[in-house]
Amino acid sequence: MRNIARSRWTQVVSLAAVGVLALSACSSSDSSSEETAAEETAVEEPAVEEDTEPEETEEAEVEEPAADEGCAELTPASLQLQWFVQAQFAGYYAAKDLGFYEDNCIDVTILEGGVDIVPQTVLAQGGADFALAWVPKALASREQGAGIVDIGQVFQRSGTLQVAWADSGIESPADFQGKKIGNWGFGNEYEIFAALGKEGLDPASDVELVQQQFDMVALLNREIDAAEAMTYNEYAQLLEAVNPDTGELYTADDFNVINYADYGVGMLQDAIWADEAKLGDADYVDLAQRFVTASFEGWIYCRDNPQECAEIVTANGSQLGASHQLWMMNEVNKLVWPSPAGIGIVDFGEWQQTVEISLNSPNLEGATVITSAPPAEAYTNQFAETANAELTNMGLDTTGDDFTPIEVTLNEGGE
Amino acid sequence: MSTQTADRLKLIWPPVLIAVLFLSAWQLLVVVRDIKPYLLPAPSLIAENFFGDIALMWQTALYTGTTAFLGLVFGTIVGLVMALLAQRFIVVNNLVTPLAAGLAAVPIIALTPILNNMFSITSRTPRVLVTAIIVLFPIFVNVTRGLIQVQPVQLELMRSMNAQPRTVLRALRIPNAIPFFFTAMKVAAPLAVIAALVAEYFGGPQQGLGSRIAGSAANTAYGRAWAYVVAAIITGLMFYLIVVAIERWTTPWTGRTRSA
Amino acid sequence: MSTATTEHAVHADGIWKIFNEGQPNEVTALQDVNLTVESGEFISLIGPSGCGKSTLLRVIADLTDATRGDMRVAGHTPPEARQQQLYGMAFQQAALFDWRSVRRNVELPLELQGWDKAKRKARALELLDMVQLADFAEHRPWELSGGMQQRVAIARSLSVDPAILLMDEPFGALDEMTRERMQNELLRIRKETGKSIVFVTHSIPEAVYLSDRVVVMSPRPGRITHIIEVPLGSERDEDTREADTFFDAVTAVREALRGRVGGSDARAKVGEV
Repeated sequence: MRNIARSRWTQVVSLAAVGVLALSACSSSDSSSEETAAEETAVEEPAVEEDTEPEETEEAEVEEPAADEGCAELTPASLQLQWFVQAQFAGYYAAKDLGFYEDNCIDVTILEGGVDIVPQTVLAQGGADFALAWVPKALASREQGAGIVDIGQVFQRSGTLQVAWADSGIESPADFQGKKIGNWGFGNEYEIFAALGKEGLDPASDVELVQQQFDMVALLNREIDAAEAMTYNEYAQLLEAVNPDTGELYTADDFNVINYADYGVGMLQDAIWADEAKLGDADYVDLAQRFVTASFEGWIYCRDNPQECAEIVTANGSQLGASHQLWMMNEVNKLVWPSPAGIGIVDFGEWQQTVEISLNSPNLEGATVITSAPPAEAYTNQFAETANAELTNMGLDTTGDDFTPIEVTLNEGGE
Repeated sequence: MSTQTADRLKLIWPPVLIAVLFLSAWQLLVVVRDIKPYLLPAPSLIAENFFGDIALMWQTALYTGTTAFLGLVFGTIVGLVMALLAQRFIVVNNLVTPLAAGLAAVPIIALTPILNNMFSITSRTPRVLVTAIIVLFPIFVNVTRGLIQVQPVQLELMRSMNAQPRTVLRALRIPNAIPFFFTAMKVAAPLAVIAALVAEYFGGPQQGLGSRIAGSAANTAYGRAWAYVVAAIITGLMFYLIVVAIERWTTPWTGRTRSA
Repeated sequence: MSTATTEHAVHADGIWKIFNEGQPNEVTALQDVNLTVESGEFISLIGPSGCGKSTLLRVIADLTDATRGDMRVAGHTPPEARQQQLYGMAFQQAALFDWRSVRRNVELPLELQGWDKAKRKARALELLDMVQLADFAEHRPWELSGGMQQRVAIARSLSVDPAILLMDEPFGALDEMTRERMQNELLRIRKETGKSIVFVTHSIPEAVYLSDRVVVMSPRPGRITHIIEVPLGSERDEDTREADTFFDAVTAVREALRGRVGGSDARAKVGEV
């Protein structure tokens, strides 16, 4: 889906593409020999080949750019999402529709997820080249033998909330005691167990855990006292519902929002995973690098153009209403940006926190997410670092230090 | 050993042998091909998870089993009442049978969220109702047939003895329907366990087999997930065997060639 | 009402039974049937399929109603006779209830009449004794042979001690030897109880062996064509089956079934019974 406004990007990208190709030819041989055993690898500074000046606009090319420039043919690649198309995955859809993947000589097929689809299993079984998954669940799969590696930690912080009514008196996990605490089950409840553990509460006897459906009806009907919600999705559903007493939409003042990240029990979420075995193959490594770089480019674009990205997602078949989609885009941006070390870089402290919770917070069956710590090979920053360098050279801001979220007004039902 | 025991053993050993062979082949496959647990857990892993915390398996099965039992009882009672009405009033039969068939066609995955929203999601009620609805149809259809399909000569006999419709119901139709009832129960009882289990996927209390199978699978802990599946199978089997036992005890005439 | 009528077990006067009257598939199952069964008499109804013999029996039993005509059973209308249990009935199938013991099957009519438990049990055992099945009282129906089941059915039909027995081919499903034994049983019971019996059958020897009179019927429309006296007396046994008088009577019935003696319309062919 080509957009005339991207012609300026096109020139920039096409110039960069040649550079990237040349660079990746050099760096791929380097990165394969360089075993990234350490958690913090030195950032590679590749030689800058092309001089990219965004101010110069060559009007000659209007459409059809880099496809013929250095791309003999497009490598097909597939990405398995965790859920249905929505702004949570905007960066990838933007990268596809705006031609960033193509510019990197990749023809990407985005595979929608669903209730029964486990993306990391699809990846490990060869059903996709890359997959998105939350870190704890992916680590659990790894422990069960799935050979997968985190190559890009796009979401830098957890977006999991527990939301209660403002008049409920629930303001922190300590207040969960004796209450009906909703959660989605399906392995999404470990942050709650971690929070309860920190407060010294016993999940089996001190709280009543209830599985919610994938909506907020149970909280709205006051059948449960606090509901699990993602900042970017279910929380918005509350603010899109009409308060029967006032006839107006609910506002943030009507609720108490508990962010698990604030209590030190947030776990790392959306990341790009690659097939570990295939990472021994030079072609796959090269593909992965290109994919990561182009994906990050998509995310940068969505940071700076949230409205447009929301529309791209909708155009790709998302059923969500326009205001909800924009809310999601904006909230997801808050989870990605700022990325202090650069987009997609795994922060060691965050990783450790995720691992520690996964090891030490048992659920009601007494089971933890994993039983032994994952090896260092479970994630790598090599691809993210290379991508960051290339994108910086293109003049893009890869840390988003000055990122400011926009104001989003929700409409009823998210329309 | 007595001949009765010897006969029973003769019946049992083929399926047991097949089960053992199957499990051995499975185990061998996993070991030889080095299949990872996230793809296919080995029987040994499943056994480890099952026997490793048998108290947990029991509690979990008990929870879902209770839901299944309550739904089974409720659905059976409603089904029986409907069957009696359908036999008595042909108009009820004509009206209800297509409705019941339609309701039976609604899959559990559609029914459950609706009932969860209508009733409190924090209680067992929606799941018991789903189970009852699923169980209703086989009970209703079979018992209605059992009440209606009496031999014409038996009806003539009752008339010749000046029996009133209520007496015909009590002395002829109901006893005639009992084997039909057990046929339905043999289907409905394991079905109740399945319904109760599947209904747990959609929200509510989380101590049951369905919730735990889903939770384990979502965390790629397939050994544990399959252990719960084994517990579910045993639960369903127990329900079935109890029905068979009750049937044998109350209706010793079933299965024999009927008298002239 | 004349005293003569009350002595008749059955009095059929101009009985018609028409199915689907006025419609294209109208069938006259019974046409102007006139028949009187004396008290204590044994009569058989015999004829080919569709001759109306079973229909007539059912009109008597109030299992179906006559389209026209007057039927009296022991002086009462058929519904009254049924409600007062003035007759007992046996069918080709024994129709015993598998979920009841033999004894409780025999008790069934008594249950419906409200007899108390002890009395019912005593009477049932008495009847089972009469049919020589006392040892099987607590058995289940499926444990008995076909012939034994029919004996139970007959015992059941005698429960309320009705004056009349109506029997619709009760021995039809049995083999020849059992059949003959059952015929003897029936004659013995009749001798002991003196009941009137209306007996539908396909078998000419059976009709002759058992009956005082044989009523020959023919179909399309169903009607009585002959009533043949059977001069075999009241003492009948196995030897009777070989007597000349027996064979003569059998022949007479067969002739009657084949064609109207002295008549001219198309009749049932030999073998079409």
